[in-house]
Amino acid sequence: MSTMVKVRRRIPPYLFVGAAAVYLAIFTATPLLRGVWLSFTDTKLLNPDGGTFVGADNYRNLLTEDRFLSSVVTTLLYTTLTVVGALVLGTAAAFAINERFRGRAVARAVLTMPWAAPSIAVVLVYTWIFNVEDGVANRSLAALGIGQQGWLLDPDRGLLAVTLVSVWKVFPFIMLVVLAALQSVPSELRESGRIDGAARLTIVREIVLPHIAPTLRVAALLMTIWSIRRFEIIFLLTGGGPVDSTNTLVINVYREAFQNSELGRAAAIGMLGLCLSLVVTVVYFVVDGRSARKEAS
Amino acid sequence: MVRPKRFLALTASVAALALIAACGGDDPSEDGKTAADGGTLEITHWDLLSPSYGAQMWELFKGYEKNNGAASLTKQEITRQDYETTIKSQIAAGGGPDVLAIPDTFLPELAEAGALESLDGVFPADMKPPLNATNEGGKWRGTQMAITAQIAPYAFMWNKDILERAGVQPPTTPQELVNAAKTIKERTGITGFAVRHRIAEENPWWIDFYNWPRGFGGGWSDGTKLTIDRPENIAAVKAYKEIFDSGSFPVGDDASTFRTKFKQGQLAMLIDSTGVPTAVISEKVPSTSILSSKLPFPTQNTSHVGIYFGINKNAKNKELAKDFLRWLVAQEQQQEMSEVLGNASTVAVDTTVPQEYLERNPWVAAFRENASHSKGAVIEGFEEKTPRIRHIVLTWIEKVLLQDLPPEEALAKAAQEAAAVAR
Repeated sequence: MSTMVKVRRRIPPYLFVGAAAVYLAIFTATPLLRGVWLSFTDTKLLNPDGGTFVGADNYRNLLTEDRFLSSVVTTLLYTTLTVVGALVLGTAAAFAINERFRGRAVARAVLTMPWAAPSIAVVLVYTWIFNVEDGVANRSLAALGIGQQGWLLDPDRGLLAVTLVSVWKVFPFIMLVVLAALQSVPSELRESGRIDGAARLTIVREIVLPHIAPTLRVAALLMTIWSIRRFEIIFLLTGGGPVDSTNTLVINVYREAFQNSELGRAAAIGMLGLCLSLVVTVVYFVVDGRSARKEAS
Repeated sequence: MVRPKRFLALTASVAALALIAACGGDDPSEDGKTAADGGTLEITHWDLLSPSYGAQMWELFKGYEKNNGAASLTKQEITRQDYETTIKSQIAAGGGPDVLAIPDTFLPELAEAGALESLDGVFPADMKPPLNATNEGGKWRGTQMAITAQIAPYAFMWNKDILERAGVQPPTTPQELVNAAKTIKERTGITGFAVRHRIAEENPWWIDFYNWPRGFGGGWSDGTKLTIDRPENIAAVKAYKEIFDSGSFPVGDDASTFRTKFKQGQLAMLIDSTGVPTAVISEKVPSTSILSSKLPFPTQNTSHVGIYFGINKNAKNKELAKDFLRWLVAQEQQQEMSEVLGNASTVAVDTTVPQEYLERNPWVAAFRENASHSKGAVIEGFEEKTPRIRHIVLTWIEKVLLQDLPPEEALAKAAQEAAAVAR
């Protein structure tokens, strides 16, 4: 093969990667670097180029503020509850609609609807469902003899209400992903398990779950990152209240950037949130790497 | 060498041009454009989306096109909830509407950031009728940055049919308010009283809530230092908590929900601003069934929603925008504006209300009487810090409402946190 041909063959991969790299540099790296810079300044929203360098002041102030630290805890709590809830509900739903039964197509369509519904519509519906006096939630509880709950008002219920709505909205994503994974489990494996006399639960635990585990891990990672970043459902339902009980990091970023116009502080919160997402991602890769090595050995 | 004749002609031409430019307020702006050059003028006001009078307001604005044939008006529709954030983002990016409505709580931030065009000298000193005193609120550090669009004071409103059915007299004190609300609930099953109380509506809640400290003779500052935990404010929060816990308060309802309840005859009393009555008149609650008075608090003071019109520093043709505002504050347009707004608000110049209108809309009078006792919710002396202090104070008030924290303790903590922010 001539040198010319070799060179020609080497170029296309660089071109393809280069295009993606340029795109990422423009739309991801540049804003990210700008965000890093802003987090060390006192920039105001209405004068985005007028900030002055303040060193690590924004970080120092944030890390000593109870309100910020409490929002980190709220974010972790919300993320954990949402991811666990969505994984459990989504996986259970996937197992259910993977079975053959009459009306399966309809069930699949209905269960997918929350994912397809616009968040704003979901929030409006749930605002009414959670209405203290006239909402379906409290009317249902009243029928069971349980008193009125301030779903979106009581600081002890706010996070629960927001988590319930979030889980309801996102579990179909897990359901669809797990369903696809379930359908890729070779039927011979299940069949051989059955022939060996394994119980239904044993087949699920020993054959199906290991097969879909990598899919679940990826889904959990995505769900975690999305939950850390989720804004619209929380903001529209509670605005971060009551009493800051649903005040997550992104709500904080929004409030600092757009209500208080403190772009520098908002960027610092964003960077700390990014660190949180990075930690989750690193943990995922460590766990995934260990699993891969275990399977290989 | 310049010939004397040519020099004289040139000098005369320059002088004539300068004279023309100085007269009639048609100065070329930095980009050399004059109002006569026309162009597109983009206007925004969240009220343009108002179902009850948004279309009429837009029709009024569009009247300018007849006055200046070279001008074409377009509108940008932004909801109230997203207004400040949208405008800030647009202006920060070098854009935004040419003429914009500005809430009084937003004006200091825009003015301080240099985002508004000065209006000094735009309106003739001898204009008839003159700009009224409310336009002082559009000044920032001595410069006229905006002019009054609407000053909407609050009043206590009630559905007289419900109160009559319950055998209740309109309350005039905080305790009477609680008693009336409870009695109405007991005798009719209808919710007694509502005001905003949710952090999800933070900005409008702040303006609404200011009625309580104002009505009790308190306030958030004395102009130089914060007075968040002064006794009058504590008394106000106690009264607010008492009505919240009365069992006749629609806990959890946002303003749009409780106003709808009022419109449907399912709510008896509320404290709201002038824009609300026209929006809640319905077949079930005709205008003549809505009555209003001063707030049932110790003083006649109220909060108000102050809205101003200003010109964006990024406006494409500032002279055109100024000409539009000059046209808008003329008596004919202001009278029409007042009527569009239901005749209960104050506009940029003084207007009159026909007696017949007052008879058909008995709620109007109290709003107009309250106007001179009203004040905006921007914290005097801490204008730019208001958004951060607002969040602190309202979060502590939430704790009073929802976690039964004593008002003294909550306001003391709020004062402490706010002082740290204000430093």
